[in-house]
Amino acid sequence: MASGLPKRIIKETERLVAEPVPGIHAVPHEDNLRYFDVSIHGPAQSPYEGGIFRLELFLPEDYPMTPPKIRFLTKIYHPNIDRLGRICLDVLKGNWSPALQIRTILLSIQALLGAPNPDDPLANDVAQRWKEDEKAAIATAREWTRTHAMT
Amino acid sequence: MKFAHTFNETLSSENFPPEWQAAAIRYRQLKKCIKRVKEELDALGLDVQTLKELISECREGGAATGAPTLQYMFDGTIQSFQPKLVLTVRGSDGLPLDLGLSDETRQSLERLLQQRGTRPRPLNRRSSMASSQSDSSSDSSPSETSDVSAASITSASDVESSHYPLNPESVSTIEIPLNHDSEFFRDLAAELLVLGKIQSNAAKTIESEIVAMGDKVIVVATPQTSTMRRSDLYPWREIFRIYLETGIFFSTLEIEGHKERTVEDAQARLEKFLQEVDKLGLRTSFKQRNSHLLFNRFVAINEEVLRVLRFQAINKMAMTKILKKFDKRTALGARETFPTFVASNPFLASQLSKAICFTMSNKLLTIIPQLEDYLCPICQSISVKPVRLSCAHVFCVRCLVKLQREVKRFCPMCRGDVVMQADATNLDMSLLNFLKTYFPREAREKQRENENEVVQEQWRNVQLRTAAGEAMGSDAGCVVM
Repeated sequence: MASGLPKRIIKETERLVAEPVPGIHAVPHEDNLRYFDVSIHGPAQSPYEGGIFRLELFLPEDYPMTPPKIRFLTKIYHPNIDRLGRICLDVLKGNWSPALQIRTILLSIQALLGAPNPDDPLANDVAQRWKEDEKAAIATAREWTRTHAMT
Repeated sequence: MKFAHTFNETLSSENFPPEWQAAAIRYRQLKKCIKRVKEELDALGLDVQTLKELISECREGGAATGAPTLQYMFDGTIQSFQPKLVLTVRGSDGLPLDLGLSDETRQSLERLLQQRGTRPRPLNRRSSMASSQSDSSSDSSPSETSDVSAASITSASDVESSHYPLNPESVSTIEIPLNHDSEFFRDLAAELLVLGKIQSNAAKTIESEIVAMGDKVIVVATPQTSTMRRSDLYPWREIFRIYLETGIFFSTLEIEGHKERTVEDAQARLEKFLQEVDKLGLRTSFKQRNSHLLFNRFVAINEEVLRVLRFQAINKMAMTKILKKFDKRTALGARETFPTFVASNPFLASQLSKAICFTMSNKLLTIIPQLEDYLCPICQSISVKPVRLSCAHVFCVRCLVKLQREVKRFCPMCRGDVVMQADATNLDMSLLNFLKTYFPREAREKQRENENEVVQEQWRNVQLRTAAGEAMGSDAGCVVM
């Protein structure tokens, strides 16, 4: 399988291992080097602080011409992440650029945790609540982090 | 083991040049000087315990409340300065009684006060300010209540507050001159200055060595041409790449914050670098005899940097230790104040390795282009045919064609709407020639990969066309790069 892997993916993987991004881990599956187990630490001073969130990341056949497919596996209360863990982030969609990389995308996701954007919602009910009663929404996010991301 | 001994042992065993050894911090002499400082302070009645109490009292906000403060400071510039022990008494015209000083201390300070002509007033006349603001401490100073004068003060503080309009803002300061203390710090500062000079000279020598070596490496690593057949471009590039990766003096990783390494760590990394070079057989792959000599010189330069750093580290440690000792005997807190005062001294600033590393990467390591810097940001391979878009970003022609085919209009680097306008004229010929010259092997390999990819695409197209032809019986057009 590795023989068919583009040089770029090999290089990205090597660098992820050799120079890990603080608070982010990405490890490829042995039997499928395009599939990564990812974990992101919730940013400090955010409702997700102290939590470790697991994600799956898949590099499609035409990566990097198309963006990686990424989904949260750990339940998370966030206006831009829905019940199925799908992420609403421009660089994962229309604003993807082939010059972006796994590490930069994961950093963007970590930043999204630090700066929820209820004006561009994916999980509508969460975004609604975030706008109406931000304090309560943050409390819920913190609560979910404790129950789902700290085990 | 005593540090004085360890220090001397290290100085003589490390192979430092004699003039360095001569300039090293004179730990033993300074230690003796501390003894004299202590005797001097004792003579003033300021033994360690008294000083400790006085200074901690002033740290606990004495300055803010107007209570007397005792400060130890360095006045002047590094070249010419005076350490000062200053007793400040606010709103009072004499030595405050609530300081808890012993009689001898009080008397000797009083004498000083009079000698210097700073408000020579008797001890028992003081403003109400000081005593009323610090009445709790006057309660707890039994030594003061034993004589008559003390009794009169207690009453004075009660009565005089209304009719004793002595300016409460007036500030009396007593500068307590300490001769041996000045001697100690002037000696230490002078030694630091000499050390700084030695170090900057050493750095200059190393830097000019680096520049000279760079000129020679250019010669042995000139790319191969028909006239210049033996080039050591590849081994030298590998050597420098490994050197940069090893990050001997500084961390190159974001996660480690580009920190300066300790001397021990740097030493270990230099060894690791040499092992790696040997493991890859880079030295044996040299074709030019001069390369061997240059490599040895390169190692020697690095060892010299290490030696300078080691000398700096041991002297810094000597300074820390002697200041610690000083504080232990005097409680003056020089360990915190003195290093801040002399912080601009080049010997203490850790810019040395930074400056050398800067020269190293500017004048030596970068004279051979590294592949890292010429990769297509999309495929992460060398751009054999580099296309420069009108926004000046460069991609390899294969990746650009893929972008155009999928009508991805925006530059992947800057999102400028420039991709579709690119054509044959965007090929950067000078960069193309440069890459072919400096990366002949990588360029050949990439060329082969590209050809394979094109063949595969053509084959797929043929299959598609056949399939389409069979299905629709027509000739489906195709564009092949």
